[in-house]
Amino acid sequence: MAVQQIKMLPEADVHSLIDRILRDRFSEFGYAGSEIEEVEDFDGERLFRLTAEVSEKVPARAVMEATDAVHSALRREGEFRFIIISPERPPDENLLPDEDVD
Amino acid sequence: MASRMLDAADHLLRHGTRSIAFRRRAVSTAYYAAFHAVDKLCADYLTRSAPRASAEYLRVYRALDHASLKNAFARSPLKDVPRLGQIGSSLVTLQTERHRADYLPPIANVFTHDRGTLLLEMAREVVKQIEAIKPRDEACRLLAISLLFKERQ
Repeated sequence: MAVQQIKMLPEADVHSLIDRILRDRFSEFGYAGSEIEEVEDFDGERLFRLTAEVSEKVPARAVMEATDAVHSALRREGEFRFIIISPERPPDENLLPDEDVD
Repeated sequence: MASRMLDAADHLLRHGTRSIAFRRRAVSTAYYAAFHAVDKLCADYLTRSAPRASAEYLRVYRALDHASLKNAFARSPLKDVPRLGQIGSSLVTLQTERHRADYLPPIANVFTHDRGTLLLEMAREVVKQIEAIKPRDEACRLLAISLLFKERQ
């Protein structure tokens, strides 16, 4: 059985690799950059949450394919932490605030 | 079942545009729709012709748990099959967000409307991809065996 060579890449390297992929895949949605944060999952595993700044709505299919491409690229580098990509458009100024925030 | 759960999540998003509680329930329901689709695939494959209400069907249907789903998709052979890798990473995303939806304290902006809508679309896509897997497909056997039976280390 092949043994996986696991490395923990520095956050900046992970971010740079993801950014390259998203610049290509989200260009049609007005991708302008991203922020990344390493957080702990519900079961204690480390994962990255990446917020991608876009101007247009990104379809789920495009997010799924980009996530897949990111995971494949990271695995080739020996990095196995999970990535969650959240495209985020500028807030709609006409949107009223939630009624149920305590 | 999965399709009606997706409709329920959609209903919550459409009718709770100013409610974080509605959005959180929508995200949770969207994940469970996808989870039930996986359950059904596994139970249909392993029990073959067993009636849905039978003890055998129920036993297999309830055999899948959330942690083993996440672990199985992170490992071979599932992560190495492109068709299943995308289903797996989407399911893990939905599962992680489901935990936030269900357990975080009542704070603002946990899920924007855009985020809730995206996760629902993702669940819909995952359900579509799972339902497209036929019992004769190798992917079906791989999924059922890998998700329901732990690999001995």
